[in-house]
Amino acid sequence: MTTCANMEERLNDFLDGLLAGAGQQEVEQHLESCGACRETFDAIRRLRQETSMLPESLEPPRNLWPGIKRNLPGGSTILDWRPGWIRQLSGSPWRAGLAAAAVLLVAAIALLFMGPGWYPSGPTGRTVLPSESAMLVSLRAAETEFLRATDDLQAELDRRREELSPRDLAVVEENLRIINQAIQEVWSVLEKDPDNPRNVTVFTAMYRKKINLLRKAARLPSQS
Amino acid sequence: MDDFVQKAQEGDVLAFEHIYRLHVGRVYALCRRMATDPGLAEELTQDTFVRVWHRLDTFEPGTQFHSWIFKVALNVVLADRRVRGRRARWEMAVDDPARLESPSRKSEPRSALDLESAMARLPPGARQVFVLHDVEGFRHDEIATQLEITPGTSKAQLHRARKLLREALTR
Ligand SMILES: [Zn+2]
Repeated sequence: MTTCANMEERLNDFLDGLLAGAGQQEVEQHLESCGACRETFDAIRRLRQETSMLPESLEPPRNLWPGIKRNLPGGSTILDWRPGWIRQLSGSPWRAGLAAAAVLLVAAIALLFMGPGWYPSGPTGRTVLPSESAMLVSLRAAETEFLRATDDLQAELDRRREELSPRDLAVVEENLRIINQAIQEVWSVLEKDPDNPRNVTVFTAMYRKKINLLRKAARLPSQS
Repeated sequence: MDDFVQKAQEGDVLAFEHIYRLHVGRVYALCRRMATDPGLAEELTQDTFVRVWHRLDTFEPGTQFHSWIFKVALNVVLADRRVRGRRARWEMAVDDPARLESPSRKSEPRSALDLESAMARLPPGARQVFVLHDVEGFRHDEIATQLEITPGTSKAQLHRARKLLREALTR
């Protein structure tokens, strides 16, 4: 005769398929005669069933990719070749376009982040965005110019591919990669935490650095 | 899929980003349920993908890539659990009283969300065994090896977790 003592453990084992023939029969017999254990049994079974229906995937609350990408030192030589740009060979002097875009971008960032009173401070002294759209629209406009210029650079690069030394080519490509990455990083930071002035300072400095690299890259092809 | 893996193995970050998008939910789910602390779960997810990137050359084509990523994630989670520096966050006490309130009402059917939050409130040892056994489908001997406990302890922790969850969900 089986009692309720230790029955909970055996009910768990029973449901997990860990009981052999005799043990299994004992539990079954006890369940037929004991309402309390039957209730426990049903509750464990229900819990197991609910657990088995939990989603396999949970989306993280924020985009974790930028933080991963920053830590991939090995993945540094592949360019973000966007489709179509090869055919869009621009007749305009590409270096002038690039410089103009860089200037525009610096100006936009300075205006947005460095200019006095471009947005008001909240009561706690923490800066508050009046509306996200003003900043994002301006930045997106600057980004469009920036992307157009880098497209021109890539088109020019592709056209001159045969003329350049492999070393120069590698340097230019590396710089382009950094620029592409910087743009993505800036956006991810901005979208994640748009009202943190510290982020703004950090990525303004980063943008300056990238633009210097961009200028360096723009000079390289003419040297060979 | 294999195409992206191969490209990533050759150093293509864009291909690897695609791999990330496909698998991040699965990895984050494991990290979140095991670690509970959201910040730590994010760190562990990121650590996993960085590790995956560095170990891509050890992945054997023809085997299941998603199982391989999951194993890497589990190793990252378990290794981190052993690191003393982060132990405080693993053993984090529940300091928000609101979280102790059961979200379920007796009259309403309980949801997966109730179960997730009840799981998050379990003691760490019971929670980790419960996640590995009932959510992820590992056996007690496997869990014992992974968590460096005995199979008997694994079983006891599972039963304890189920009991606590039943109590939490019927309150
Ligand atoms: Zn009984």
